[in-house]
Amino acid sequence: MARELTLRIFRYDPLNPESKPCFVDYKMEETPRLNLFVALHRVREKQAPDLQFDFVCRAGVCGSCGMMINGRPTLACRTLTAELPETITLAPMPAFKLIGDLSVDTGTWFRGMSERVESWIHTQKEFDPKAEEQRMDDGTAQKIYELERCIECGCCVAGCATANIREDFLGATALNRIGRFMLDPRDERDSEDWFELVATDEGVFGCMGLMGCDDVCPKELPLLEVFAYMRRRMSQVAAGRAKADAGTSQPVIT
Amino acid sequence: MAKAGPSKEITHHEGELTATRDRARRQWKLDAISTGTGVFLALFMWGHMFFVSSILTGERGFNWISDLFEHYWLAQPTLVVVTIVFFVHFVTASRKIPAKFAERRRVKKLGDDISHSKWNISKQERRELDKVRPHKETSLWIWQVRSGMIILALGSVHLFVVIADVVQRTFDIGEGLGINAAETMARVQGGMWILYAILLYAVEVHAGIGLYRVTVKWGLGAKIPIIGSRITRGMAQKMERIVLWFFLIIGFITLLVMAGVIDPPLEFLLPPLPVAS
Repeated sequence: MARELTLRIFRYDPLNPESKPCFVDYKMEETPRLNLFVALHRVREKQAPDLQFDFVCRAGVCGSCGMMINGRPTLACRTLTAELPETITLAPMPAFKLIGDLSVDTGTWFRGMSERVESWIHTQKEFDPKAEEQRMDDGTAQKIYELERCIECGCCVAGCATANIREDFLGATALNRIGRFMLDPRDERDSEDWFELVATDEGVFGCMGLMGCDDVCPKELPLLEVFAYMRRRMSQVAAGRAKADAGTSQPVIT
Repeated sequence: MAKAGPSKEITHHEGELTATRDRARRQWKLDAISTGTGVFLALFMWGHMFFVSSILTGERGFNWISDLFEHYWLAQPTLVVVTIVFFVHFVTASRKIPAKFAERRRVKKLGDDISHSKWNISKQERRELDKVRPHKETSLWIWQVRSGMIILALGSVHLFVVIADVVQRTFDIGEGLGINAAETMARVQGGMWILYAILLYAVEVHAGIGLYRVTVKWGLGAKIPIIGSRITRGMAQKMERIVLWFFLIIGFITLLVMAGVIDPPLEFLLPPLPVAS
């Protein structure tokens, strides 16, 4: 006997002055292996054509469909309704600008983050388009890849208490990105350069350590290890011990 | 390279102009101080627990240790240092407590939602899931704040009583006899046991959670010397549990002896001296 599901969805259109934030219930019959990606599309097709939510890949790769599912930020496309009780509460992720209903603007946030982190290779080497690409050893490439698996879904930011109450907090994804560039031997930024960005209350020392980021990351990135590494390395810099080591010391990825 | 030239200047909240590097250094320092003082106080409390639990060998053992400490001027400077560190820790560690009530409520709600989010899975599956993706950290943190507040209040009373006692004996003023078993037990039996029981529990919880969180925040993924394995969250959690129960059990037995409910269980090690007639 199939269950009747109730999708309790947050509805609000910030552009419409008559719209008031509220939860609206949508009922549907559960079908085998139904995931929230399909369920939300059914709601939009049959019950609420103006429902706003984001999806692209429906395979947990694009990071568009992050939302609060029964209070936990995670990817809707990777969530089967069978894992959930009959009433499923869906809300947009906090800490991001609301576009409408379940859709939030993670793009602007991540763009700003990338600019603050200066998320590109900093090098003074002249680029020679004809030269062979610089080689990187396999181990380093693997470690960088591990951190690059971040899909920018924003779940770590939505699940972070500090980011929920402080707009300027960098968040786990930014620290993870910084870790990625610290690993990269082509990047010439040294510890002192990182210090003024990372060792602040907007960076690693603003973290209250509630570990929400690590617990909700859908890609299971080693975010706690990255944070612990940053704290130790920043303390070494403050103690004046880690100078001119760009590219040599590496975050511990277990 | 984008960051050439002198360090960037930014306007601080208070409107003062500071170099970003100086500002970062200050914020690092505050975090390092709160961590350092916390670890110091937790280690001090372990030592404190061992010395206080000398009452388990009877009054003689307790008085021998306290006399030793006061006679050789170990207790007096320790009291001054610990009192200062106690308040420094309060000032630096409380930075992390959100100032606004709405913010605190948000922190609690988010933590509750993440840890108790209603998922239609069996208890067995939930246990399996919790192994990989646990979340009890928010409630641990909230209890650390609560226990910290209790310690601030009750610990201040305790510090005041002990300082008054030691000062009176050291400088030979008033009637204080310094730290000694008879007076302490009289105090405990006279009703202060409530204060000490709450303080003991709060301190052990606060120190246990604190050390766990320091390990996870600073040490995760680091190699343990000699053993060579890396510190994991599971290891830190186990350590927290063992340490917490170890000191809670010793602490409460000590308190029961002080309150006169049970006899010192280790008295056979140090039998009381025969009373000179």
